[in-house]
Amino acid sequence: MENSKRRFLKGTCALLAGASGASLLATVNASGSVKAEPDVKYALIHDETKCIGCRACEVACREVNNVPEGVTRLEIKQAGPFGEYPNQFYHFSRKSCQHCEDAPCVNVCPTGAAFIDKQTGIVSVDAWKCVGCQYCIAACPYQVRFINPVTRAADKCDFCRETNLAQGKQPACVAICPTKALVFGNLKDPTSEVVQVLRSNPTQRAKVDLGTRPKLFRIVAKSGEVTL
Amino acid sequence: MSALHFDTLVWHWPIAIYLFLAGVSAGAMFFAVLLKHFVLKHNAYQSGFVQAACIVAPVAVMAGLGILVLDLTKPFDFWKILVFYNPTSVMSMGVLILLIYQVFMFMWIGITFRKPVDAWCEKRFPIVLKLTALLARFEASTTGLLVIFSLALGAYTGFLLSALPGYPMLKNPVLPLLFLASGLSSGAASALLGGVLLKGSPNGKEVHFIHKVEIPLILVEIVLIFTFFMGLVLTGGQSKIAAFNAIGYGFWGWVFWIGIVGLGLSGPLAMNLFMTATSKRKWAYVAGTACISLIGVLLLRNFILYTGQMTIA
Amino acid sequence: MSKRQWLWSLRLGAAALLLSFSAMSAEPANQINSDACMKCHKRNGQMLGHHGQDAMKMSCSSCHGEKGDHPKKPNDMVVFGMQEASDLPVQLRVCQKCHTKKKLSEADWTHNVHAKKVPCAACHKLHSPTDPMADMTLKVRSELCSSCHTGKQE
Repeated sequence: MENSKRRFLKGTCALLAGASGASLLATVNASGSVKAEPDVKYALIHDETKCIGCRACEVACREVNNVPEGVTRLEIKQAGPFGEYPNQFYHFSRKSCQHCEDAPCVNVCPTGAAFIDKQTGIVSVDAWKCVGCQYCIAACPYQVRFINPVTRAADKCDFCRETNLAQGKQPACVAICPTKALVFGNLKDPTSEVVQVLRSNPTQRAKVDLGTRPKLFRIVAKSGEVTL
Repeated sequence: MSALHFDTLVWHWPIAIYLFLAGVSAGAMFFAVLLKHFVLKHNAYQSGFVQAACIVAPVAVMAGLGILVLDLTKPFDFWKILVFYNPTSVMSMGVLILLIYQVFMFMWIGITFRKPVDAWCEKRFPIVLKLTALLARFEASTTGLLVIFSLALGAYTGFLLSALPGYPMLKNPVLPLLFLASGLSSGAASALLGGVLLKGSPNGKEVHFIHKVEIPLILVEIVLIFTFFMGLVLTGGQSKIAAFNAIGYGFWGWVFWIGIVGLGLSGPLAMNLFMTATSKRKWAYVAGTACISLIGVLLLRNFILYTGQMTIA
Repeated sequence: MSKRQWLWSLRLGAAALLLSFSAMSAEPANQINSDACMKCHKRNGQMLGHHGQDAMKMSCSSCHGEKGDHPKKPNDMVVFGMQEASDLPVQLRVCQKCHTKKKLSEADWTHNVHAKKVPCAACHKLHSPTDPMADMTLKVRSELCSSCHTGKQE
């Protein structure tokens, strides 16, 4: 009995040492990859002061990315009307992937089908690797993920990484916006429009207290309302 | 907002059943080990309760995995979970734990039932005797690792939900402990129920032992549930709203107060307390306590899963 | 007569029947189109839309006002549209006789933000058989928005 107890303790110690060694190795690897920071990191600004709620972005996204009816990668949420007739106004806000730096969907995905593209910082989905456990859908604090009824894989905005961006064009929503309410660009490039706009405007990001560090910025509508 | 269908609901009841079954399996194995180690020693295989636990544990974990696979949108791609791993994913690590747990579970069952297995295989498959002899050499390590992995599995069912940052009620450090404790008690209950069904004596020393462990376990569960909701309320903000949405009113409020606190926790506790340690236990009493305990745990899994998804950060 | 020929004549007959039906329904049978105004406005005055139904009991003057000095100028006729049209409040007053702001708001939120900024006829067409605003796809609708909202006016 004494002997077997000792053997068991030895075994457990070896297991723990192995596990901690492996995790140590993992952190070393992680810190190694930090050095090779990519020089492209895409972000999007939604200027709510310019948005008129025409939903051209939703339509363009659906066409370009072949998104089936019934689901959507991007949605314009509408609040209002505020104010007195005939001077009423609405608020429009964009609901779509925030391309978090520390993305919960990527953290929880069991197969690595949800990933952050190292070249661009875009949070993407490998539809083939996805098994459809829907863990990412539950994990996303912004509720922007859905199961694509055609591919049966998790789907969401990827800044048109596989469509427009691959062809050297702006994302479909940005290109179509009639009032130029969407600004897309590289955060690492100080001369890019997106950096200029961020520097000259106060912006907000959703649910930053969760530590997700999202890359969808909003310029908040100028007129407000009273809510408690 | 309907209690069973709402916009922010992603995971439905099959996940709750899976969490329940994984907990039952882990708990049954845990108590089988305890029974063998502290009560029955080498005659464990003759006990109806150990037999029941050793049937319940594999069946429950396999059934749970089956439900999990069927709940995928691409059930035939489930092998990808076994091939691709993500060290940051609780689910991925849980799959790993489940696989290793099952290995040790079958090894331990093999060791525990070595005598009948050897007797049956002696003439038919003599090779099996060599295997069981080999297994028996690692009995201590197998037992130890099985305990560790059954506890890990029990806790994993909670970590799976507490890794969801968008739901303030689930993103709660007490949840894994709560699920571990309730998983263990559901395992004990399933061993008791199965044991008396397999003609185990309702007044046997196994029952007395399990009941002795069960009272503190239920008390711990009550403390954990209290801490769980107290923590949410004191955190404030959406966490507080989530807590009151869950237990304050409506369908799930009833489930919590009547089903979980009343039936699942107070019921077995009261019956255990009224039945003093020395008095004689009857079949209906053991089975009845086990049943309400199991129902309580199943309700708790569903309650946490559904109400947890009702309020978002 | 072969079976094939017989079948063809049957098909042609059916097609002719269908055509005659559709021609009948296109015929402006509504009372409003026999208004006195139609003597001159036969070409551009045909009222084929929803508002022309007999049940609505409307005449040209219900919207465009009494003839007055028309066709001499100036007159009190109401002309709808963006260009060479009556003043905006005059146009709006006509439509809002029936279409209250509450009803408009319930029908579509865009009424609230365009109220008193553009005439109804900027988007709606009443004389054509169907209003272009009815049964619009989201795509057509968003294109209509961007035909005015080009980003420069913001």
